[in-house]
Amino acid sequence: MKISANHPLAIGCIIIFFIALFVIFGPLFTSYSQHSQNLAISLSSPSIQHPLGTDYYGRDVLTRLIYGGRISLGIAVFSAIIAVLIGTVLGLFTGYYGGFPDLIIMRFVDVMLAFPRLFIVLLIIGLGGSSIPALIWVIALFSWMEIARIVRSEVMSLKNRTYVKSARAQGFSVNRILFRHILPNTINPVIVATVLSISTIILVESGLSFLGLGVQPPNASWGSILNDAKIDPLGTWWLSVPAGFLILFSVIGFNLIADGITEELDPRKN
Amino acid sequence: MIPFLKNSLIRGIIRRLLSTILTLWVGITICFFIIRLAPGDPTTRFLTPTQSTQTRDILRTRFGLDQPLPNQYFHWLARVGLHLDFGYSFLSGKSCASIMTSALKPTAFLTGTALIIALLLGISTGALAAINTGRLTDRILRSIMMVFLSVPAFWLGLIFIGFFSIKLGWLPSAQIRSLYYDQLSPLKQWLDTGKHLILPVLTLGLPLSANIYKYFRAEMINTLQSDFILAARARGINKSRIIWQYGLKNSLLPVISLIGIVIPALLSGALIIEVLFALPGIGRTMVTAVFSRDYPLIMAGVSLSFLVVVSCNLLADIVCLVIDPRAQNNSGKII
Repeated sequence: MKISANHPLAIGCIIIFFIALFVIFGPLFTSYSQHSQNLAISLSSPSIQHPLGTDYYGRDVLTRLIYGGRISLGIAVFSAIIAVLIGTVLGLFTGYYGGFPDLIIMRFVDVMLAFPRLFIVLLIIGLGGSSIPALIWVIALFSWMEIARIVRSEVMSLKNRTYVKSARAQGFSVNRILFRHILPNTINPVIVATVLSISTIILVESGLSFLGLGVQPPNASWGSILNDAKIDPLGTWWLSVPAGFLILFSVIGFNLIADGITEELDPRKN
Repeated sequence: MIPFLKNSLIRGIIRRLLSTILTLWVGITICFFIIRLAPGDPTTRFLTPTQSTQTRDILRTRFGLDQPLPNQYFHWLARVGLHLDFGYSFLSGKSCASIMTSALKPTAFLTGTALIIALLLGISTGALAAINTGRLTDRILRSIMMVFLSVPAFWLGLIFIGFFSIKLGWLPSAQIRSLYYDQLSPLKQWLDTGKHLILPVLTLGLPLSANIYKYFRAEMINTLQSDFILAARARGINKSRIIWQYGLKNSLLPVISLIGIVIPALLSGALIIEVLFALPGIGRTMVTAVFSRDYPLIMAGVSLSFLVVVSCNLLADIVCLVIDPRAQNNSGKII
């Protein structure tokens, strides 16, 4: 497997690498605090002191993009991990056991998939109050369904293979068969699904924060910075363009990685 | 043979219908309890600090909030199930059904047009890319669509507003009609609404078209590689006829079920776009209702959107069943 020959994967990794560098090491290059206000320089355009200008409260936009990025990406990654854990475990057990629990859980998956996701997440966050852990959990609880479906169908095709039968014949416990024999063979589609969920969750979170229901002030996320740009999107381009591009490129990056992995795993390619 | 087919078709449809009703009921029930168990009290909105708790109790009784939750649930379910009565909005006192009916029109217009545009654009570019796999056209389309697939719709909308409304002044950035709408002739009224919807429809439709493109491209490549295409080519049938008549036609069927799948995403997208463009649709009504904890209105909106999603899924399933005889095997289970 030569990664260099796989353009989407390579480009995706490079994009995510640079965005990760930006949010991790960014604070080393800015002397401002993300919360410190200075109303005298409210909405000033980019200058040497403030390379990406300031927002309504005179806060440095570059600094807020860095810290906001940590929050946006952090929420996306943690939500995706939780969603994958829930989806994988449910998929493993329903696929392996089948029968009545499988029927109930899969019907439940159908119900969950019929929810317009942003709608329902907005409902819960709007009524229950917004905080970063709440966002992570609520988004995760509405993102595990596809993964459960994928894992379940993989398990259903794997459970009758000879190696699983032989493991069963040797008297291994169900947990051991599921987690040591079946799970490793379902890992590829799970990785692709995880990467894809990260990118969709970035979009969900930025949408919520844009509506004012996601990350709450004084904290920033890329979506809430865009909310500030609502009044004059091009007039205050230093608020709208960099935050928008950061969201766009993170999502493109993760989508490319997912595409690249899929391409890499495609049996037709070899 | 034919009675058997018909029989299995009808059985399939009845199965779908029953499971759809079940899905609808479970989904709405989950929503009801999520909404009611969330912290917060709708009556606080009506109270000033000087008012006594008695006023609050009166309000609670009037809204029926003093009853135990299960009672409220069954009461609500019976009223909705038997009389289709969604009650009255806490905030405005108007009937939820009338609020929803007037909000439905802009949303239906917005999502319907966006879906049509997304389908046209997605299928045509998808087909074009599939015919030219690996060539320059394919690669260019792939890059453009990757951007549309990844762009946050509301940001696209913001940039559109900044460019077309504020900078160029060509198109309105908010509301669904102009202030002088009533003085216009019917034709001009249509044009006026149309003008207001161009930006929202594009904002909603372009990202969606990328999804359809991606799906359709894969589907069409798959079809073009199948045996019957090879057989048609071996028989010396004209290449363009193979592509358009055989390839395209056979790849279109899965798009029907895709429509069923994208409807929830479409509604989610409409919500944020209605807020951005200040359109008086379901999404914006819901956001306002959530902020003021207007339980009856929230439930009416939730039920309506759920109903739309599950009926679209049902419709897609039935169309597939009717068109594709293969799907009727195994007592109507889609294979």
